[in-house]
Amino acid sequence: MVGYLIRRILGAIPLLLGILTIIFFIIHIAPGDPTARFVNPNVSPRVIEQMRHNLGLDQPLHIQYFKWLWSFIRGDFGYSFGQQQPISQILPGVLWNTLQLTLVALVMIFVVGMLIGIVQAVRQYSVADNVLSFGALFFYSMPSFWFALMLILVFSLKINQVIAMNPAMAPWLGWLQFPASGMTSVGYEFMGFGQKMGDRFKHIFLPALALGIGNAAGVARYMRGSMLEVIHQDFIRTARAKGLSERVVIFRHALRNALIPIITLLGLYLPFLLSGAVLVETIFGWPGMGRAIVDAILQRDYPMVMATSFVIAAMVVLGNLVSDVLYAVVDPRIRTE
Amino acid sequence: MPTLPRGTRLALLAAALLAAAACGGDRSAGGSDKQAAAAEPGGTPVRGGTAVLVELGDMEKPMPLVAQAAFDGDLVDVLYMGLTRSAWRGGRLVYLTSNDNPMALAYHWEYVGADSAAIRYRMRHGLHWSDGAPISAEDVAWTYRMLADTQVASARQEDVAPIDSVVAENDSTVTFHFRRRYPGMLFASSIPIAPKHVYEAAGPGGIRTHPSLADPARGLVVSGPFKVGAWRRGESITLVPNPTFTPRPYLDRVVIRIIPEPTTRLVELRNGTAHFVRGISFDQVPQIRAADPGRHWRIEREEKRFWEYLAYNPSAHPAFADPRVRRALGMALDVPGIIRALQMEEFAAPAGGPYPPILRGVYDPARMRPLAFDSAGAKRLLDESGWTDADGDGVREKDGKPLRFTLLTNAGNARRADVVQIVQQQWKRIGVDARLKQEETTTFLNDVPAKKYEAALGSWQVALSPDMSILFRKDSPLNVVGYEDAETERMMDRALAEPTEERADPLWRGAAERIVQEQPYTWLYFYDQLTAVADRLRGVRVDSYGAYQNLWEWWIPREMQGASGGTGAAADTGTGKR
Repeated sequence: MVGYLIRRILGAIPLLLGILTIIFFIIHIAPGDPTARFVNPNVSPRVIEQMRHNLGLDQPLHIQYFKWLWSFIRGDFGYSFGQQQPISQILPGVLWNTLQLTLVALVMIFVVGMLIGIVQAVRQYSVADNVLSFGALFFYSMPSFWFALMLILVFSLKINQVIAMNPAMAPWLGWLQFPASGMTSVGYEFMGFGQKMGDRFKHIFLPALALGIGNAAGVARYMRGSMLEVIHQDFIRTARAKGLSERVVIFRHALRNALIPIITLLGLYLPFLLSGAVLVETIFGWPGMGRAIVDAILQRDYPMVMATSFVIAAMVVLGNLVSDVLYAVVDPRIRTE
Repeated sequence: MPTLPRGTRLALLAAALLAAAACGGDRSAGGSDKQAAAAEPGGTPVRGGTAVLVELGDMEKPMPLVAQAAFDGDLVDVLYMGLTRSAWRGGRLVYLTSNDNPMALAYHWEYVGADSAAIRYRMRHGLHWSDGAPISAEDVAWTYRMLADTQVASARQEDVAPIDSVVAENDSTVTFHFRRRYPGMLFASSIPIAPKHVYEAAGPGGIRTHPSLADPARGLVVSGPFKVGAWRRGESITLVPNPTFTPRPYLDRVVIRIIPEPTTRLVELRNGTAHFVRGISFDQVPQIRAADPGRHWRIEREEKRFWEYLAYNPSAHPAFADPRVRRALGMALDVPGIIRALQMEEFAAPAGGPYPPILRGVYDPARMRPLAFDSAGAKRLLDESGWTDADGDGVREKDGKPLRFTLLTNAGNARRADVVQIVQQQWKRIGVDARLKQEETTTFLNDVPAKKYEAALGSWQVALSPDMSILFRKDSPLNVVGYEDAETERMMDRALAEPTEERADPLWRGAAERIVQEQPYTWLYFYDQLTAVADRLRGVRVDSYGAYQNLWEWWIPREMQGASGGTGAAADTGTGKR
């Protein structure tokens, strides 16, 4: 297994370099450059030219590439043209912000998705199955940006208005009231520990829900299909025949076997953890990777595009590797092969 | 649109100011700002409270030498003092001394030298940077050396190009020697000053990467009323009073939150969790007003700093080389109708030339009248110029080439997406076939100056100065319409060489008139930038100069300071705090 892992990791290095090289040339071929946003009558073209010179953009593309490659190999991501800061100082912050959001969303995706899938499979063709199928399809089809805006309108704006008009309802509705944006409230630094935790939860709930609900619906469909496949197999009939309770049959025997494709799915969700979600982050004012990537592309912030691309490409490679390893861990047949 | 710290190379300076300047003495053109807050309806200013502001994007480098983005320019105006403080009063840029504005380092200035091509400033004593170091004339001289240094690559290099030298005569006296006398001398010498003792050791090439700029909350040494108290990248900036600045600002804290999404910004405003929201679009104003008939918010305007245009590229389509065709295209458009249809009446005015009404010295409503909507006249002009619909397909042609072209604009701007559709329909009525195309904004900003377009809808920001040569000189990269007229260039050159604005303005007006005659652009409308301000926020001055110009005078009535004042406890947990 260790040899297999090393082989896979070594194989990933040229793959990553290839991906990054292609991205480097594509983003440089795109029209415009980082100085385009300063084009207006208040900025002299001479100053723009000087900015280009200082950023090294007037050098031949292959020179720019080798300079970037040399820095990258030494672990230096360079300097963000857009944010005017070293990328090594920007990246950890946005990665951590995104990780907080996506981890909560990921838990929501798998816990909610798996529970719904199990209920649907166990109660196949029941009213609950049909209602949950409809609900899952509804949320699966819904664009996350629209759902995010609806969440803000209902749980921030409308609830606020209802409470403002009927202050007596505050104790009843207050727990349904969520902030529209940001990671913390104004004055967070003056709060006690408990208040801080509550404030964090309030701020993360809506974006995590917007991010997770559609994906949870997808996982539910996978889970339902996988469980149905398993619970009709002979060993489940045998388990029931032995007199095991239904709970034990479902959760100990059926679920463990049905989890195999879900675990593979979990591995494939790893890139999602760090790539963030552009629309949800933008709508909720969440300063994460999704926003950083899109801003970098729009501003032609080449070093930032390369750094964020590297993180995502590495996570895709790692996600596939983890997925394969987990698959082998949970399925002895694969391990033997 | 991102831009530099406001202003331009040549600032508007009133003739009266220059006349007064010749006599020397304590001076500030345009009157006092000291009582601005006290004049605010709603009571006497009181200290305390937290104001929550909302911006579209984060700061980058809020330091006078390296600030580039528009928001950085706004912050520089809050964090740093200049020798004089620029302000927009009565349709002109004025320069206030410390006698009238606490943001000025100098209490006195005077023209010196035989031809008055130098200005001597006398600075206040006892001023300190936020780290306690004294502010001296050496800081001024060093700042201007760095602004001119190509290694620093300041976006304001052009502003200081006419300066020959800046000499610190002693700790509190500094003299600017210009290469020649010109109207923008005060503007060029009013740039905010950076602390020499912090950045000098880094050298010109090291200023941009100085550690203080990577961590402004710890390292940024400032002279203005506020300093950066905390920075959560991409999320919020907290400004707190700078203890070395006098007078102390009324507000205890200013929290600037970064929210890129317009709908979310609006929700924060309506929830009462934000008190000052930038980037309000015209179509959001009726929503805001309908949602709050009691008017707990007001709309403030940065008036007419932009003109929206239709640009024509003569090298891309032969029809655009004929001024009659360009004029006809403009006459075919019902601009007042477009403004009404898009609910912009309150905030936009039809434009007839490059100077908006706010530039009172050069705006001439008689000679730069917007084109009248006249479809029949437009058709006649097209017929006269040889563009006729001979084959009856609804599109005019000449020498076998149809009057068909691509009308380009940038994606992501809902207003422009609407305007191009209306323009397309109105041109169709006179036999012009415009195909619409939207490009990603950076690509658009690249393609228009590179003249990779046929016709384009865009906008230019108006400088607070009459100098428009950058848009209309034959060899300027921003002459995107390929305008070429030797006489116009001569008039602009003469205007730039004049020592005073009273002598330069008639030349600018004459040049503008010649340009308008040629109609290289169809000027659609001048429009405002809007900011929604909660009633609890008092003393706010927003005008064409900017939105943060008197932040130290903003205040919140004590009964409205609520939980957000004092300890700064959460302000965004409910309504009813307005």
